[in-house]
Amino acid sequence: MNTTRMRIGGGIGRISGTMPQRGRQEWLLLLVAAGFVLVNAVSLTLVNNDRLTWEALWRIGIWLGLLVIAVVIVTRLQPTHDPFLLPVYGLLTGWGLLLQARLAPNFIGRQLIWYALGTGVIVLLAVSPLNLDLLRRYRYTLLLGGIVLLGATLLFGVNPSGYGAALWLPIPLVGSVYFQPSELLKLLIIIFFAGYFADRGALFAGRTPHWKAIMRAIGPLLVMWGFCVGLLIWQRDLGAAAIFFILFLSMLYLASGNRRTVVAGLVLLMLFGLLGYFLFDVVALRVDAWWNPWPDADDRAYQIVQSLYAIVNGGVIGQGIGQGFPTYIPVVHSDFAFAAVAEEWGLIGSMTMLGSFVFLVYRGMRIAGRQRGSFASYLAAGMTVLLGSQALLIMGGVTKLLPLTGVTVPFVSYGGSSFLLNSVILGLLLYLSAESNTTSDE
Amino acid sequence: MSRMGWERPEDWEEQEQFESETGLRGRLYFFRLVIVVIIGLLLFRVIWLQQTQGEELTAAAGDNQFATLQSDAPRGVIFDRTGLPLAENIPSFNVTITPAFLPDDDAARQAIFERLSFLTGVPVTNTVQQRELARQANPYNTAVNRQLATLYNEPITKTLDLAGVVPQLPDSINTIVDRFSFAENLPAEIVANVPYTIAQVIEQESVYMPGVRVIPEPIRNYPSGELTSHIVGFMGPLPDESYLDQGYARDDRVGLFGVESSLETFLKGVKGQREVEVDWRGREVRQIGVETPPQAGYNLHLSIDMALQQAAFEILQAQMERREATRDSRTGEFVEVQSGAVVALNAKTGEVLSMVSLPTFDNNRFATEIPVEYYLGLARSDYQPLFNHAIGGQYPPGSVFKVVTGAAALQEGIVSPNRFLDTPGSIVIPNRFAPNDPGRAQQFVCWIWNTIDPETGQRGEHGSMNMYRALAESCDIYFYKVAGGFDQDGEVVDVLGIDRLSRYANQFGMGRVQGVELPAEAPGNIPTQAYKRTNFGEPWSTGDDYNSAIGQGFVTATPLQIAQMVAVIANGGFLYRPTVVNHMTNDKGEVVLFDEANPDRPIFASPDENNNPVLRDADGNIIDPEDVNISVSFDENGEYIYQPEVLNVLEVDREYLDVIAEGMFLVNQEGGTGGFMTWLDEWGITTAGKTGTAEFCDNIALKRDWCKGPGEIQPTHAWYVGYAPYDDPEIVVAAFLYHGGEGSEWAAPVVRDVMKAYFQVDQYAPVEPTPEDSSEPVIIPEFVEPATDESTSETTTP
Repeated sequence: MNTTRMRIGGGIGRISGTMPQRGRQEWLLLLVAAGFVLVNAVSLTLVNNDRLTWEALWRIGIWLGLLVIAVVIVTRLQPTHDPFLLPVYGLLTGWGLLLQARLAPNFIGRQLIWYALGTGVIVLLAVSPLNLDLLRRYRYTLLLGGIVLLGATLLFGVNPSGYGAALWLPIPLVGSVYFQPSELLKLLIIIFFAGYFADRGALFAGRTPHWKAIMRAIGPLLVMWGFCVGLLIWQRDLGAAAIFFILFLSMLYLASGNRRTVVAGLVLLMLFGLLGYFLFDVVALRVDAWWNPWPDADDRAYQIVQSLYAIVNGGVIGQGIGQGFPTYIPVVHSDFAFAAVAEEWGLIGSMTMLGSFVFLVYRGMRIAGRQRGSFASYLAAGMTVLLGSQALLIMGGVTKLLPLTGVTVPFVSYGGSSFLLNSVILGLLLYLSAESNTTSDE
Repeated sequence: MSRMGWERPEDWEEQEQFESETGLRGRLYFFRLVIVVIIGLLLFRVIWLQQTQGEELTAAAGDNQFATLQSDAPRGVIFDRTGLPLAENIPSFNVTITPAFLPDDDAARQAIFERLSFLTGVPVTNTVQQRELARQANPYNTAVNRQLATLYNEPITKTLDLAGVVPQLPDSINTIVDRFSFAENLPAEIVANVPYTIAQVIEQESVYMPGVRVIPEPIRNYPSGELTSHIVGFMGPLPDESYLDQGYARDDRVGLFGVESSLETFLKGVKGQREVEVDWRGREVRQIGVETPPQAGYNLHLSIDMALQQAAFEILQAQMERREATRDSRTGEFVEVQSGAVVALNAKTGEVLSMVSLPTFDNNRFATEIPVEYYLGLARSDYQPLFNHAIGGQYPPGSVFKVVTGAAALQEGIVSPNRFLDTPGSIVIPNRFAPNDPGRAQQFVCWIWNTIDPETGQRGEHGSMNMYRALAESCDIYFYKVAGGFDQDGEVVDVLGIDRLSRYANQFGMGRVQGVELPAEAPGNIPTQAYKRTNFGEPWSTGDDYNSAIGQGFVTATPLQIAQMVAVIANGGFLYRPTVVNHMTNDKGEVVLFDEANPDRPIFASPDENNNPVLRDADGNIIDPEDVNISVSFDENGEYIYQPEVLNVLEVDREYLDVIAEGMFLVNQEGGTGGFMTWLDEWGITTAGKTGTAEFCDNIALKRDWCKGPGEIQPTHAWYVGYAPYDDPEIVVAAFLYHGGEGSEWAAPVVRDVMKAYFQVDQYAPVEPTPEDSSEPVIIPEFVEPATDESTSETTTP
């Protein structure tokens, strides 16, 4: 399993903690997650049907089964993997399944399939001998491929729900399965950034590089990135565009440590925001609805207003699963899952969910920091930023902290493409965590 | 959990060179911090929202918690002139489910649905129905589609597209409840207009069916149905979005035809309004302020006399049936007669007493919905049942138009009433450019020219005629000569000319819309020299004058115009605006009037104890009659007296009108074209009239190959228009039978019978009050029945 490992330099590592200790931690956390999901599943069944039915619980059984199998395999083959990622993944996906069962029962079957696929991807990535160098070497090709796919949505894009932005591509040969290229592009641009910065890292080493030097250094990167953002703005996929901004700025900062570039980027972001406000009515609408939703509460700001009502209704301990009215929020099962959590699980539930993401980000950054090579390090950091910023954008949107952008809560919301993308991220993080730990064995 | 937090110092040693150089690790720590701070901000936001914002949010949403509810105004009722209702509001019982009140238990819910389904016939779920529909959707299997295909004369598959018919899934209770569950406190309509008995059962059982309610909603009922459907009309859903701007709600219905359509603004009334506060689930919490009550629409009192209308309808229908069962007197063949019209006017006011247009339709079928099949069947018929032929059908009037030609010729001094003109069976106009070429001369014949004596083989002729006789015997040659001029064999008649003729025709109400309160009134056509030049690019010729003189050629008129034309003769030269509305009343019974200077402000008039009018404004304040430009009066019974509106005064001297009238009187006498039958003289009622037999060749005739070449017998419409009594005219009646043949033979009896119905003589005599009509009970029923049987069998024979 050490055959294709990327290695920049030698080094002496340490095993942090003993093996049985790590395993116990992981299983203990898993037990907590499973307990939470099971209790909620049972109470949802009781709320809905007044009695326990096998029908309502077998999906949760599958969820638990797959999770246990995943942990067993990963533990067996990658004993040094990060022990916190999978339990958090389990908690979030289990919660997501509960929410689908509660809010959009029609979608739970599909969500379960996505979950199964996602778990498979995680296990596969975590235990397989990966050659990250290949990703690094072919970063332009990969990104261009992603851009071509995204461009294809301009021509052939559809929206499976029949209305709204056409951001999906139908997958040929498989009936009514759709795929959102912008999700894939997020990962590809992280790979691109990571590879780019890893190769040109030296250019950023100086404490105060000249402005022209910076431009020379990041010129090609700006071009590629600008192309992606241009496409996304053309498609009115504001969420993805915002995430690209965040990725760009954070990775630039990580790689260069140059605060001036970051400040300049933030200024640029404001300018783009203003420009977007006056150029695109979609942006203007979202911003208006965010700034003051009340004049339009019956119409365009309906979603956000209903979301606020739901959150307010939650209180500290929440209404209890199945006992609030989160279905008043349109498409609550996807973008507004967090509002439903706040209503039915209250402040405690919101804190738990936020805490889970904080924890994921924390572990991700830790993994990034422990990488031997800069590419792997940037890759892990970028993916972690992606996970965190998705959670931040949508939760901020739902609570009217930020303008609404159509992104999903990772692992919780319904949405196949984003689920798979986040699974790939988690799988790679698991792989990298094990990688860094096992290297130190040599 | 000891691994969390900051790294142990020994971990630092593991880091590679590049990391310490670039400070990546530090930045990664910084990043963790940033993300923790941001997500902490989020958390704070949630706490802030939940703990402090509850009330403020509710206040901010306060603006959205008020709703304006509208209540429908009762629509005005339509009466005939005797007070019989022709359009009234009856309750339609709509079965509804309010989703919020349904029991939570699934089984109980399904039990309710099944019971309701059993009672109303609406399926609980539509899986079975879907299959049924899928089967029906095969266009070859459904009778409707086959019928449509026949109507359109197109292949069946194409027909559905043409008709715009989309097979709709019959709604099931489950789907309706699901669809309306977003507004779960509002009743969702499961089925409309269930029979009263079922409504009662559901209402009684609703105690056991929480959520189920029967809501009565007014719909229109037309007691007189097809007898008056062209006058009263019908209602339907809003035809387009523009109505929404006029204050209609999306589910409102609006008049689409007849006075329901043309007087919609008066009938609809004003909706009531009230402001309510609703909670966040849409439930009404309380009412705010004072409710504006709905204001009922005005009631229409039509000038139609229902008894006369029914008589005219039956007379015309019977005559058309009889016509179709009789061989034509000239061709000896059966003819198709599917369309006709009768218009009866009050000779002194222009009020329409009766207006029949056949074929007709049943406007009650349009009460709750417009049935596609029925509607298309009507719309696609050649004879256009949905069309009011009495005001919209433009037909050549034929000889009845001679009334106009005669009056114009007398006034213009072309002939004196007693001048006799030579009237052979035919005359010849030489070609203007080749006067000596008999081959290019045009022959104009009289109708009598075509009557050939079977023994001698001689063609008929009128010999010599003055105005009186020419009208009485409907001599074509006489009117050719006075209209187009004549100068042969020493007899010189000046030319009246079409331009002078058309001026008089306009004064008689022809070639113009006269403004009856019904949609789609047609102007007819009165040509001028300019008309032919612009439309046909040819100069007007003497032949055109000749044709126009006898109501052929370019001349067309509607049955209403023909009746109006004779009304002008009968009332001494006034063209009154024809009307079907005698007056309007509000819900207090006051007559509604409008001052022309102030058309937005209605004035309400009612008789006081001396039957003098009292005028009030909308708030009930008395108005001084001096302040408004309104003339209103009530008769000794307190009934409103209709004030006719004069459109114009005929520029023909009274003495000449009397000549025309006398000529028309002679029509119904021995030797006149209508004189072969007995009129109303035996009841002391004198009559006058004019027959017309108008040749035509329109689209219907072309499609059926009725049009014949020159010299052959052409298809003809039958016309008759008359008035009675001759010395003091009360009623004008015009009858028209499309493709009916001879006017004297087929249209005149219709007019006679309608007059009999109006004067209540002969078979229309009021039944003598029999003893059992008084308060005493029926004595011997067996004795009464055969007597009534006998009288009815007598009446139906003529």
